[in-house]
Amino acid sequence: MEADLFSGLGMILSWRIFFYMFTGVLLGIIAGAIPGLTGGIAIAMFLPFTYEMQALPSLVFLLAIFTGSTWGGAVTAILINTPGSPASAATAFDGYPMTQKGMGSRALGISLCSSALGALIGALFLMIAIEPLGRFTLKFHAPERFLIAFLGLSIIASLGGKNPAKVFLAGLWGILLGTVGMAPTGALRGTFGWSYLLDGFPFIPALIGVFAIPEILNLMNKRFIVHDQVIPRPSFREIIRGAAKVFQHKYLFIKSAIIGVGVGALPAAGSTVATLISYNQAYATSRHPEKYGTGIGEGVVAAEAANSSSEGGSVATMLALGIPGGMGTAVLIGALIIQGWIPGPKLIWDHLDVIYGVLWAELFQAILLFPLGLIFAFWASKIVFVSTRILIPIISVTIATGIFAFHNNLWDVFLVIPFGIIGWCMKKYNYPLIAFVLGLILGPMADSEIIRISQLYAGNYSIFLQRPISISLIILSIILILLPVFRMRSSKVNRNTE
Amino acid sequence: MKKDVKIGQWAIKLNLGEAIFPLIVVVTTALYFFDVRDIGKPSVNLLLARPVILLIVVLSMYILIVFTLQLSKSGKHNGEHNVKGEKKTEEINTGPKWKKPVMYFTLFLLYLFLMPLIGHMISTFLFVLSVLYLLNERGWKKLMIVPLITSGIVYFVFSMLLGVQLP
Repeated sequence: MEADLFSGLGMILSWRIFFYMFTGVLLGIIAGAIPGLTGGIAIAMFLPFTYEMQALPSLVFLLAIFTGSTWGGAVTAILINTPGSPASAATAFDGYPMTQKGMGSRALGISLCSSALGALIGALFLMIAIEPLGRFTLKFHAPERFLIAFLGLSIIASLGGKNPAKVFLAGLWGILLGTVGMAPTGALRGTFGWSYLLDGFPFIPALIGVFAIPEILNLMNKRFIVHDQVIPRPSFREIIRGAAKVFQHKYLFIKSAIIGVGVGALPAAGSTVATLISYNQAYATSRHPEKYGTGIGEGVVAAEAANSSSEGGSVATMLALGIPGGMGTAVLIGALIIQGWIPGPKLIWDHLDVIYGVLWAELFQAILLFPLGLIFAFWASKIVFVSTRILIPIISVTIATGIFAFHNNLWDVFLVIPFGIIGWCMKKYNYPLIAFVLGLILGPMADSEIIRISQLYAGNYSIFLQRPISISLIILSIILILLPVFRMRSSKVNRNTE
Repeated sequence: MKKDVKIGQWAIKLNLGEAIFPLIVVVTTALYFFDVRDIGKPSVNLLLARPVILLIVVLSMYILIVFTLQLSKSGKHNGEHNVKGEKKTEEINTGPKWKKPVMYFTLFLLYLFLMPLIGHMISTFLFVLSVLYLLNERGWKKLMIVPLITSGIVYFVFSMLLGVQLP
């Protein structure tokens, strides 16, 4: 284990990797700061650059974009009250009032410092947790690996969706489409004799169609930038002073970062939920809650620390179980699949040295975020005023060309359109997109595992009930599925008694 | 997308939009089902697919019934004018909200059809131009410069830097 830890460090100590980290973080900050361009879309846009790369630089580059984008949104949230990405909404609660009071630079410093330190805590958590997690998931055999897909869906059902039936319909449909193609036994399913589908549904076009197109369409009806707003020129000294202020709120910061890691680890919750929970926690436990929302540094600390540290939690879930938490991690799983890695419980153990390399890079990225953010703060006024009108065709063209570049196949790009329409309908009628994508990712795994089980144990399915981990996964799924039902019932009872 | 049907004292609110996704799911699932009907060794090859198909059918029926046909007793408090008001706002919203995305998808499709015919650079130029026009960009300077720069940069990055053979 320690050998892997240090060989991982050795792997990333090269100029090339540092170049990827540097550009990645910078691109992430810019993408995060531009309203309408989220980190997930940015990762999808730069995914084609990693087709030819090896696993390590590819992951380092994409995760650097992820890290950068978690802070980028704070710039516009603080300075002009338009969060660059949804996760920065809580930052605007106190950040913008600070700007109105003339303390915008200080708010920027606070957000930057708590964001960088939050990312650092997330990376440290990953470093410590990844080895035990890998060891634990090593105990997962065919039955457990089969159950993971359903566990993921049940978590989403209990957390994300308003309606569990819709979550499961979207997820099961994803699983069904995931089984299209050649089965492990060699039989063809759902291909209609079309050789294009032989290897299964092309994952990247489906993923990007379902995630990116609805976001692009969403942009059409939105106008983020108010043009008469002027971004005040930040002051270097004030930013540093703000950064130092974070250390006055050590306990709040640590609490927020822990909330971020924990909530980030849950699928479908993600960084937006993490920041809101953390902000509410800070508000509820504060000695002067009345000051929250009027421009108080603690509010910014709580929001940004949780926002950036949630990345660590979501990456842990993605690596350990293959369950994506949101669009960013889903595209990262796509990048892993391109590298020939198979998402799921065996992933950590198969590639432990590369993963340690990636985690070291995460650590450096967190440190890199601070100086790069500092530089960006002075450039922000020139970058963030990109109008959404220009953004829509540019994102579309980049994504279309990027998908074409994957296999040099125009069919892949055509597939984006039906999936885009489907994603748009799903979003409109409250079907969680992440459930569908989870099914698509874990469907093939669940399918090949259950075929293996049937062959290994000759159709004796009581094996699911003979293994302790498998039993606890089943029980956990059932509890998670039943939770929303109970919640609905209790809220109905409340309504009746009112 | 919303219609009301009254049967006695019950009012059924038809919310056809809710039916779109379950119907897509049911149709594709049916296609899948017919494709794998004659598969060899179904007890192994369809081990996962069969229960999944069954669950999909059950869930989509449930959603179709519960969400598309919102059954409610036509009470006195949420009577006629409330429903009318809802209809009016629907009509105002549906026009522009549907038109632009549909146009966008059509342009996207056209872009992909044209790409092998007239090349990546020219089709990208035309696509960006038309999408900008669709989004009410009317300044002719922007309408020329943005597509030109975009198609140039995208072509340069993918063709030169990444070595992709673009049509």
